Amino acid sequence: MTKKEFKNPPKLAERILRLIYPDRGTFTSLGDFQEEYLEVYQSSGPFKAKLWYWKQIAKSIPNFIRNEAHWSFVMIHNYFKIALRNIKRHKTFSIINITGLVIGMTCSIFIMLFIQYEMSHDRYHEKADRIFRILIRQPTDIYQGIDMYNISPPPLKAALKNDFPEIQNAARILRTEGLINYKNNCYLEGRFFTADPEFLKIFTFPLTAGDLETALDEPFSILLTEEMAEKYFGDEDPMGKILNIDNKYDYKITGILRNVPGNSHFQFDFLGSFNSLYTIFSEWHRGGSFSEDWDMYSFKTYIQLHSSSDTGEFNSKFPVRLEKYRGRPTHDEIYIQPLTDIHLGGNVNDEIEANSDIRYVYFFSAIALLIMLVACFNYMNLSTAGAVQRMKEVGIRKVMGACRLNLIRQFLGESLLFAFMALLFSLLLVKLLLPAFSSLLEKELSFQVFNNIKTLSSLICVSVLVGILSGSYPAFFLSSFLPVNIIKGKWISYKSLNRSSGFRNTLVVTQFAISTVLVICTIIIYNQLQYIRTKELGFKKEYIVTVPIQDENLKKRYGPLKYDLSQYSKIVDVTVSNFLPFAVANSQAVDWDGRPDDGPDFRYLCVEHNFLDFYGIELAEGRNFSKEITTDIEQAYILNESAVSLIGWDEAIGKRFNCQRNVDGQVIGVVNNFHCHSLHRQIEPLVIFLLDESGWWDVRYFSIKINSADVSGTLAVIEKKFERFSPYPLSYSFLDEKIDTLYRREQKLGQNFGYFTFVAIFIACLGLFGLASLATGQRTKEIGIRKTLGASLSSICFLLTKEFMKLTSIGIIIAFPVSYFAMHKWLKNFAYRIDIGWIPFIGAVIITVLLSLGTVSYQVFKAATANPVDSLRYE
Amino acid sequence: MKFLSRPEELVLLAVWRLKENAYCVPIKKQLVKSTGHDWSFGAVYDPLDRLEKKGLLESHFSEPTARRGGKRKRIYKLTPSGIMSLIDIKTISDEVWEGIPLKTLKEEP
Repeated sequence: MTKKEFKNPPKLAERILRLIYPDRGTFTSLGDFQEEYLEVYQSSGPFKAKLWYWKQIAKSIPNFIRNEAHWSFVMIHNYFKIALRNIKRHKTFSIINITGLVIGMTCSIFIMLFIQYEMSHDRYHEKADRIFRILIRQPTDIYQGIDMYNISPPPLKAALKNDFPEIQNAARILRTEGLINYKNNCYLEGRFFTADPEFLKIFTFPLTAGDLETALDEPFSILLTEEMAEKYFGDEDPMGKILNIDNKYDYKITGILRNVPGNSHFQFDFLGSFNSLYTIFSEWHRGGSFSEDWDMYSFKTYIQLHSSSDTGEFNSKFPVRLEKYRGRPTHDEIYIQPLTDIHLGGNVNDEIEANSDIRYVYFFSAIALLIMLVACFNYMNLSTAGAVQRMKEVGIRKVMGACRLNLIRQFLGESLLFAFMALLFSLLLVKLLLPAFSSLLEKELSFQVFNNIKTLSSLICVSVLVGILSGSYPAFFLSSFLPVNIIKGKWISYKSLNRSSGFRNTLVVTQFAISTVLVICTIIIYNQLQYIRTKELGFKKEYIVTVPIQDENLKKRYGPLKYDLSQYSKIVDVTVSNFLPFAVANSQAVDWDGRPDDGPDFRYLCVEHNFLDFYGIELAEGRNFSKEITTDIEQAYILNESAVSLIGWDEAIGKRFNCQRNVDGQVIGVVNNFHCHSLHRQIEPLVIFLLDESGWWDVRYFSIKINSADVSGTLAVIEKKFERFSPYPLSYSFLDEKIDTLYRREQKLGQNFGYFTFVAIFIACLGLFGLASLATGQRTKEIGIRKTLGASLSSICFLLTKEFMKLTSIGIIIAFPVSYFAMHKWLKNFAYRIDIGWIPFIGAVIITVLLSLGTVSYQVFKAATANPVDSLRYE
Repeated sequence: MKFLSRPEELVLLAVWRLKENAYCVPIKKQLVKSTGHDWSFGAVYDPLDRLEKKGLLESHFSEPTARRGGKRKRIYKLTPSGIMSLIDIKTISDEVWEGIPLKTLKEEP
């Protein structure tokens, strides 16, 4: 046995030979080789024989390659030519196909750019993988449903560094506003950071001037970004110049920072040295240095580890109880969050800037995928439907000896060609539309294809995928025709025609299902947004100008300004409060008889006597604050209804109540619930009390009610009056506009959704248009005969439209439950929301049906009105 | 008639010589023997294919044999026009070589 096996040539070599020798069916040449092999084997032994066999293969390979290359080149050339001819011959189809793909790809590229941008946040820091930020969880203090806070007390930095040897650097950041003044060039800057010197070691913020090591060492040294250097200094060299801040402190400029990239989870323009704070806080911080104050929850703390290999173990050590360092008992816990998780990790309380959410990334990826699918389906549909026109070509090719594989290769190649053409066009479109898209998203996206290998390769991958996906079905379908049938004139068996039309119908149904889902979602989102905008908030919001107050001196003595303002004829009323009624941000511990130990904090409003009247907030019971009763200043509290129901009082008036004051007060009134924060949440308990003189820092907002006539004139007057009392530049806004900003994210979402819906529908309609023109084209004769037999125009229109309407309706029916569940989930984000109801569904039906009717009507009408003489002339 | 290339000529002749056993391996051996050069299989297949296409040869498959690992032989046979062609070749080459003995060729400088 073994002897016989030895006589066989090496298996692998034989297999190669089998592949490269042309007479694959008969293997006679393989037999020849084997015979000769045997002879060599017998005369000179197995080694020589094997060597001989391999040598034969080595000799054949160059020829084989040359041959293959030659023929495949010839064929590719031919395929290419045919493809281009086809594009030229069927212009409408080609345009519809390419347009669909281009639009789909453009949208997908945009969405990809957006996702890439979102994912790239904070990754540009060299040590990004080992930077964490400290979060504090306060289980007793839940604000807006979240108990995580991005704030920590200043001594925590040293405590953590002591306790964890893994930490290499730690830095605290204080974010404030600053009135910056340089040679009377004076602005209020909102993005003013004060940070430890380690800040520059942890993060990668390169300096264009100054020394990274020492820039933040000295007290009252400051860094500013290039943009700010330009703004304040123009052509001057800012290094070493003195900036005056808050009319109090002189900072020396020790460096210029590159502008902070847009994909950073915090943005700042100025970076002051931490050491300055010792002087600044010494004024009002009683009892020791602020840096030992465990109650001062004002800083953001970031830490950076020695090496990234520690992160896993380090992570497992958290959360840590704050008690461990602080000494006094507290429920607070210390958490850490990796830097790169911050942007997509949603918001905690006290974020420096609103973060995005990973769910939005998923959501947009899904949309991109759907749009791409719709576009691919389009292509599949049209090329399968158009197959009839290419049957002869397929038949001839098969007769000439093309095997199925060749044809599949040809048609896949064609769809790849389409995909790449579409890619080129969409790259162009992306380049053109990028600025518009960036401003739509309010993000500075950049798009460089050719210097970014990753983008380029992923784009090519996407096109190849699109090409293969959209070309696969047509390729298999087209290559399956039997030449005998085609040439017999039987063209195609009814079975396969039915099968393919079933497949095509499924595609159309899917397209319309997707589009209808998007339409329904858009309508519901729009309705909800409309609802939010028009919902009675429980207070008046028209013609109210709000002005935030930063100036400390003005806060302490606002009376004269207020008097001055109220003297002006077109100003109806003025009031001062710590917050505006639509966004009461802070809460405080409160006390009443029978309060449980873990009772919640209440949001609080510090107001003037006229506040409730000013905003038209109505009392449910009790009385308003009164100037006659002097004890009201310290001892009167007004609660809202949710506070009363939370406490559980039947009769609230006259009950003992206290909110961080020395003297107990009592409840004098209860106001109707008004929306003191966004409509995402149920109205939370709120306490309203009067401003007293010791609480001057609670003077945060002026609200000015103005006459509806001559608004701009009044604004100018207001500006002038503020100028007289405060050096701070005035920034005002209208209350209703400010309220809208609460729902910015949803509005953006709605807007984007609208655009993408439009695109999806457009592509689906394109496909339907193509399909309709094919279907009517194929039925020209039928229609002609029907007409000669007396069919009316309307009956023919009905006949032709019926088919498409059936598909559209099935799509719509599928879309209903899908969109209902999706939107039901989305609406849960809002405590106050619309009922979904039937209107969006009916609206979507009307829109989809009308659009698809409109799309097919042109073709249908053309076919129905055609003169039967023309359509029957051939016979 | 059309002229054949030299390898075609040699292969055709070899097929005639081998009669019943004219398949690739013995053809190749015959060629090696008569020309003294090494012939690869490819160099034999190619003229065989062309001759067949020209109608000078025809082929059929033999029963598979174990010696060849169960593969068939492709056995070639001259067609009448193949024989005609051989006759032509013989006549022409005899004609052109008429009166030139090998000796005289070797004597020329």
